Amino acid sequence: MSDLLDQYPQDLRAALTIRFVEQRLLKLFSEGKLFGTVHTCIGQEFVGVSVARCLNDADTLFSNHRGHGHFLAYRRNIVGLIGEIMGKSVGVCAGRGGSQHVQQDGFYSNGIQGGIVPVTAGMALAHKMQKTGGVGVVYVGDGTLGEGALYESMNIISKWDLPVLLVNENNLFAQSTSQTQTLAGDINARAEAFGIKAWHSNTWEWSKLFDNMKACIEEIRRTGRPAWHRVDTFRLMAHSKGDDNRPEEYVQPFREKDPINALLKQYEHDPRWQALIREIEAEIEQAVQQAEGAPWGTVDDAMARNTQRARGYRWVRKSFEKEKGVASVRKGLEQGMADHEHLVVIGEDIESPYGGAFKCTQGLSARWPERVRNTPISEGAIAGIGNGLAMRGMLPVVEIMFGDFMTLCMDQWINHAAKFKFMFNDKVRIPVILRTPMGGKRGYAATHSQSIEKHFLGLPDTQVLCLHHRYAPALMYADLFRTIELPTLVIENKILYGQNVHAEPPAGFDLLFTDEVFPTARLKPELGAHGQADVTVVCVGGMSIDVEEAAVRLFQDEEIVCDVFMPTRLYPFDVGVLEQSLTETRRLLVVEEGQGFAGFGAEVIAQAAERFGHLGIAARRLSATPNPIPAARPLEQQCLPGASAVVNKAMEIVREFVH
Amino acid sequence: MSSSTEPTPTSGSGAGVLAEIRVPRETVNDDVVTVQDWHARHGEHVRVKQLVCSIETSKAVLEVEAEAEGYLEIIHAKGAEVPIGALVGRVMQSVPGEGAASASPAAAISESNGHSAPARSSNRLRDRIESKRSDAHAPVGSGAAAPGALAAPDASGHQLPDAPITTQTISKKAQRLIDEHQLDPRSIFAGLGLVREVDVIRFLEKRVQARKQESPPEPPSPAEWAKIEPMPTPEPRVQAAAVNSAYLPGKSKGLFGDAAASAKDRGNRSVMWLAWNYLWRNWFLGHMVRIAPRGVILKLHKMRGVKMGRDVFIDPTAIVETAFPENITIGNDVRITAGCVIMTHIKAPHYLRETGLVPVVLKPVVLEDHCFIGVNSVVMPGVTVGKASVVTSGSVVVNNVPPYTMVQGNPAKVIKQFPRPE
Ligand SMILES: Cc1ncc(C[n+]2csc(CCOP(=O)(O)OP(=O)(O)O)c2C)c(N)n1
Repeated sequence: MSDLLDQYPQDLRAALTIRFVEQRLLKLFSEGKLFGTVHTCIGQEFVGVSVARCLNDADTLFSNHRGHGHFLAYRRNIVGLIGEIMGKSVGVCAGRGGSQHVQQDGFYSNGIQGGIVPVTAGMALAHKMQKTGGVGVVYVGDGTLGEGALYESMNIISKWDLPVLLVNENNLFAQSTSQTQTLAGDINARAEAFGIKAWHSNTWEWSKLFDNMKACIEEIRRTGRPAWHRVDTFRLMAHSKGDDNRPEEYVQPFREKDPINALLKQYEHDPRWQALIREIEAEIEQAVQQAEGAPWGTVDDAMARNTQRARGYRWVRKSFEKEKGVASVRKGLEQGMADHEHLVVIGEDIESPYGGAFKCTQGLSARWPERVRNTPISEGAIAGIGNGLAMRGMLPVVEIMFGDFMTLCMDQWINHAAKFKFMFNDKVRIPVILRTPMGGKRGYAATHSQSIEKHFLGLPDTQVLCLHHRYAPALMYADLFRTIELPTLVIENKILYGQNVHAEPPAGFDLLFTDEVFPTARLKPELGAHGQADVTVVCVGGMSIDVEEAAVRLFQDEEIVCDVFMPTRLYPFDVGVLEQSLTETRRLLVVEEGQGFAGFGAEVIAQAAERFGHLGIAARRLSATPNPIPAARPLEQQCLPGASAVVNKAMEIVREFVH
Repeated sequence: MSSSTEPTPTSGSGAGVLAEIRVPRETVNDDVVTVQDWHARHGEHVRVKQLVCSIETSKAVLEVEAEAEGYLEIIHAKGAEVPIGALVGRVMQSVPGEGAASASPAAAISESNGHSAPARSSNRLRDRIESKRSDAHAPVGSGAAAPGALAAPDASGHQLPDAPITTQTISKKAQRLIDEHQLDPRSIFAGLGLVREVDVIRFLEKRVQARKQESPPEPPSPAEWAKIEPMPTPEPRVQAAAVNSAYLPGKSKGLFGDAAASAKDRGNRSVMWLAWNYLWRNWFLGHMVRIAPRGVILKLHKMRGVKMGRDVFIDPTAIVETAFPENITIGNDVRITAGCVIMTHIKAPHYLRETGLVPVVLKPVVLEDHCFIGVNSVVMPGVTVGKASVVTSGSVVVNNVPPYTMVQGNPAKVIKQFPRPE
């Protein structure tokens, strides 16, 4: 048998480095120098090493909460990791990410079990489309075999022939819970059920693991097919610092047969080995010192960039073709596909001839079959695939068939899309677009009619756009594709699809727009020098149609004059756009179709109270009644606000508040 | 989409109708679709299965065939936007009369009003904007990927130059005045998009002023009442000290109650005066106003001491102060309607008065010119109801009502401000 030190110098060095770095981290923790916690992989080092030794810079690696070893094996950046965990500016994410959120050159980790798997699928799809030859690798613990996102993704990864390696680190425990309590069936049979080839190795026979892993990854590169690799291993230390309930007599045998412990014993007196250890320890010591001496990072102007307050608004007129909302959306997407080669559209039932549940993508797949894809019913996974695509420079547009299904995308949106830019210290761009129609008045009842935009407002580093009938979706999409930097949710509207979008205001009103990329439209009453508007009305999405009708009725019947604002961007939103109008009317009415509690209207009124409270503004909200949306038309009409409700509410506020 | 509000087809009732041509529902998106083309002329003979009409939806173009042989009647012309289920044409037994074939698409839209609420609303709006500023909003070509063509903001950056206004929305109230005076709003209110009643009044005021300089004044029209000067109102005489003393607690419970208690309490009034006052003015006349013919009522009130101007109306069931009518001043052209109570004094029961919990109140009331006291309203002592103000029915007015104001409720609150002719 040839000498291991000669045969695997780099790999042994990597494994030892991981072990010593983590031991040093535990020491730093005890010394009170770490804020938060550390999940160590002591005992599992060879998994990360076995994978990293087969990867090159074209590949992408996704890791989880226990990712130090994966990172060090792949990126070998000791000071970057220690600095990150100590929270210093020399850390790879300058202290914004911490132990579970590490990022550097094709390495990403996140602390949501299973959530990173669809992102990996998206990244692998991008590799495939861009023909980089890169493979996407993702680690999942055995505890994570309980997560649904994993299986949604495995289905797609296999169906779409994506070059993905799923490494299952089977250490028998999830936090405190033994696998015997939570795992049904066979692990590898899961992969095989999806038609994914399943491999099986362990860290105790690590040279065999190296060979298997090499063969497995080579096969992925050769066939373009995904693979699943179960690696049995054992975590010797606590899940997180100091929370190990496993009896010592259970852990002890594993400690004895641990491969690094075995090596340490085997080469104890070998001068080469001693030199290696000294070298690594010196490197680590130096890294710790460098990190300790380094300054803290900053959160710079994060606050400012997410609460844009404009420098006064300029109003301009715009014109666009009058057409059905759905035609304009389709036109916008089509133009985007033509203008941006990296634009990809995915979603359920979007391919021609069906062309989407609301026909927004009709014809696209016929023209661009490679870039328009039907997906399985897996909203969480396709949102994550969008994230992965965007992270590799694609411009993904994900259609979520009904806004109600956005709940299934929540984790991808909130814990992935919204987090990566900041958490990874602004090194990651994630220009993903989710399009989805909200709104009722079509009799689709409780789970297909909701307006749940409020749940997506206020997530830093995202933007929420919202279509209304006074701004052409085609223009909005053209601008979005041109300017997108942040994850963007576009809320379309089912009623609007069948209504005309047009720039001709009702008689007596002028239609103006702020000169922003995503403008707020305004129906400004033309009253001449003497006149003043009575009430400032802000409306969300499809309510624009009802509010406009109400504004005309209110004037004709009651001589109540409305100054109507229709924001195209709901988040970030700056109430400054209403300043001039509120100064005149001192009455504010916000109309939304969703639930009012903690909704957009609440935000607008709160901002108005903060900014313009000295004007003594009276405010009202109009929103849905607090119950699920019923199916029958008369019942639905009682619950969702329409033009008459707007008229009544406006009259109420004008009567009650006489200035 | 019901048929109850369908436009009336040219050839009357259902007689002679062989088949109807209706808009089918094709996609989930559309409530309103467009008649893209007719493939046969109005009155033309069509056969079964013959393609007669194309309907454009947001998804596709639907081909509609005739289901009977006969003569085509076109109800909604090419280009019309019609709701799902609408009757766009019919196949008739005989050649139909002049149909909508020649009508403009805009007409078809307004005809299709009155279906479901959203459809009606959008149609109504669309109808009105049809002619709106077509020059200012020339559509851009479909290739326009850049943000829409912009009208440049002016240098100051905040205010746009006014676009020429060619159509207006006129409020119903303004329309009433416009009709009454046969005005042409387009020329008179050019530059105004929303025309309110006050705009019309302002115009009429100016016109009257201009005419007055040319010729002697005409009798005032309803729109000109606003500038009639109120008659000089005499200072209300309130002898609070003297009268209040009449209400001081007394021992005697004689015929005239507290008022006749003692010479000191009575102030300078003689017992005979009080007797006369009570019997004649407060009791006799006070009852007569309720049964007297209308023409006499006002005279009786004046005899009671109420001061009033011209053209006053007081309903027989109104109570215009029982004890101190002389403290009430009413201007010109005032209406006090059924069941109203105008009070200048408050006199609580002995206990409340004597303990001081509810002191006696005696204050004048002034109802200025043109004001209107709605049925069953109460005007409390000390209140002045301003010129041309309205107290809506059932209100209890405790505070002064400013001129040109409508109040409502108990206590009455301002609910509306009328435009004031300046
Ligand atoms: C979605 C989600 N649920 C729960 C947790 C909390 N959590 C962190 S690690 C962990 C156990 C994971 O077990 P396993 O997947 O086997 O990985 P291991 O820790 O054994 O490496 C849990 C429950 C989490 N981070 N994310």
